Amino acid sequence: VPSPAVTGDTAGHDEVALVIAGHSGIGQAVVRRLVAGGFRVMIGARRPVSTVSLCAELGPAVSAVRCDVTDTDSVLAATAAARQHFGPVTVMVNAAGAEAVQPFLTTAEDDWAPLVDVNFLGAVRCSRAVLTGMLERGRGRIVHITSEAAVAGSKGQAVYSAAKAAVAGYVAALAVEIGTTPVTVNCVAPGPTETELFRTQMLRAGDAYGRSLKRAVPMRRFADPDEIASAVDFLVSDRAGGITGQQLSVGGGVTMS
Amino acid sequence: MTTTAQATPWRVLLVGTGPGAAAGIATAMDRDGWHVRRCDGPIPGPAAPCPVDAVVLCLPAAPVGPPSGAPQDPLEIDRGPVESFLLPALRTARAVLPAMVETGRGRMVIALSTDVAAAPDATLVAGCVAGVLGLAKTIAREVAADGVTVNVVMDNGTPAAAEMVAFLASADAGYITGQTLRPGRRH
Repeated sequence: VPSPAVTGDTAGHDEVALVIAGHSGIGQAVVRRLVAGGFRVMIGARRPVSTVSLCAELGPAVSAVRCDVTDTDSVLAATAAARQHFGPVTVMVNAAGAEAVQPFLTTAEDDWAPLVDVNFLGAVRCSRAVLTGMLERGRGRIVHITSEAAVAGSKGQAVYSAAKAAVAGYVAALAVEIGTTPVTVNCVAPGPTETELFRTQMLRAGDAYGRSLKRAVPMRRFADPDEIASAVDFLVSDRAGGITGQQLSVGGGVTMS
Repeated sequence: MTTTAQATPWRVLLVGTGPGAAAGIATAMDRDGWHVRRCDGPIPGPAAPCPVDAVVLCLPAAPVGPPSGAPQDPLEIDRGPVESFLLPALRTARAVLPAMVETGRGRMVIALSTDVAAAPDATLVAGCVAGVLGLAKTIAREVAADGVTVNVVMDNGTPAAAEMVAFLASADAGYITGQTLRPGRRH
């Protein structure tokens, strides 16, 4: 993706966010919120070409870089690119995820590792890449997008649910480890959210499935991606400086814990 | 970072049933320019519903009832904890939620201090607090389809809890319901 020229004109904006998988869905809603709030945002995407129209729409406050969360070097390079292009990363939002819906007993061992690699180890790699800099500068917010499936379980998604739950456990422990620092680390666990991908899945699954899924949500509707982004927006804000190690469920009541 | 701009100020009824319990929350809400109506006296009855966008109920911080040291017999029923914890939550919900359901939008947040959740020598208090958590989820389920959310925040008295309460009471938290959050920072 062509990167806009780096200029010194950053007056009024000293906050840089790196949003992994910010090209679509929940990640894109997060990017939009952050840009509206004055952030400069580097999008990490597996295929940066997928961000061209978004970058064009949002202007020079947004740029994109290749990032594959299953590859440590790629995550480190994306972090370095954000720093070089915009400045030190103070906010990292990881919306990367991989899911497969398949009854557990029909899965093979080879099916499990990729889900763990993207959903869990990807979150670990992303945190690791930005934490040292955040701790050195005494400023930082990390938010991982997990899933209500991590709390409630989801049919056909045993390993996915486990990997997302692992992120919550990782975040809880990491928050204790860095609890005396100003850096916070949290999760947002979305329930069914009307992303483009979700709408495609619903179309494929048929109306009856969509209706039954909606009935399973106490609020009787699906989330707009911006409703997930608003929770992320809160957690990265100055006002949430005391909130760490949490998993905030944004699921319309799917889980009540 | 940002607060969603409201066309009209967000109206909140802040019900405080313990001294100082609502102070931090009021500060967070004043900063956002909300119209905060304080209610430190008796909870309004169901006959006098308040047209508000959100209601925040702050329950007492310190256990009420017999002083610690005098072992309390849990079987000797003391109405104090019921009056201090369960009934304010029920009365507030009855007074405010029907109008919200009618509108198709609303927020209820109950703020609790963590020290009451398992206070030694205060068995009934702990039981009533657990009751508050249960009734909040039950009511959350009953009003969810009407666009009304009900959540509980523990650790009241910490800045983190005050900010969490303010967020859950805001327009931005429309898809979060039935949750019990414990946002106090752990060291």
